[in-house]
Amino acid sequence: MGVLHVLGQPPSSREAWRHCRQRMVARDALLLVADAVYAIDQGALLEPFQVKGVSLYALLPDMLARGVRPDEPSRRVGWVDFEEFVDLTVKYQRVLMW
Amino acid sequence: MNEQETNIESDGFLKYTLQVNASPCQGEADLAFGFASAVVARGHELSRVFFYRDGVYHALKGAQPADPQTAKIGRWSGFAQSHGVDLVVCSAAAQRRGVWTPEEDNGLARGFRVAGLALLVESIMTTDRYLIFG
Repeated sequence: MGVLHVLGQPPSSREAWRHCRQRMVARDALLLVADAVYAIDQGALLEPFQVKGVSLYALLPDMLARGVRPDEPSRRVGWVDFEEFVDLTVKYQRVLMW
Repeated sequence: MNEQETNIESDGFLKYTLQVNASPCQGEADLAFGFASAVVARGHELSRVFFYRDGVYHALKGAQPADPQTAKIGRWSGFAQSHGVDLVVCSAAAQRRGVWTPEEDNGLARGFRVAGLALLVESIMTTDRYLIFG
């Protein structure tokens, strides 16, 4: 498997989002944590990742803490808890924290 | 960047090194603790947590935060005791912030000890996964 990219920057951090997007390839996965989960309400931000064919995940406790509801139209984002976060770090051989 | 060769044991369990750069009240500190707890819950080995930059404030004994924050201060000490995790504070970062001095080597919260970056490098080389928080 490829690289698990863990992104915690808010959608307003354009540079971090852009750099992360540029580094990603189809076999990678993106996990949104902390303020990055706000992007789930802004589908346009996630579209470029979906076009690349990467797997998208978001940390559910961070979503709930921020009022980002998992039952809204989710655009193929997988919700994970902390233990599933760990499972992702097992599945992907490398982890990059943005 | 933290890229390394993987060395998965046949039983599927991995060894982890975590680095915490965030201070106790920053969001990434919660993320680190949640992840650390989950590593142990999943049966993996959390070899060492290395506190660097503002992360060294985790080891400040006697911090008295407002109520909702209280759990964030002592939780690593309890975690280390329960699971035998090595909590290491970067000596230079701690000294720079007044968290620790070589002359008074008794100021750290329970379960923390001081070491240098060499120990971090050793951990990275001998574990399967290395994650940085903050």
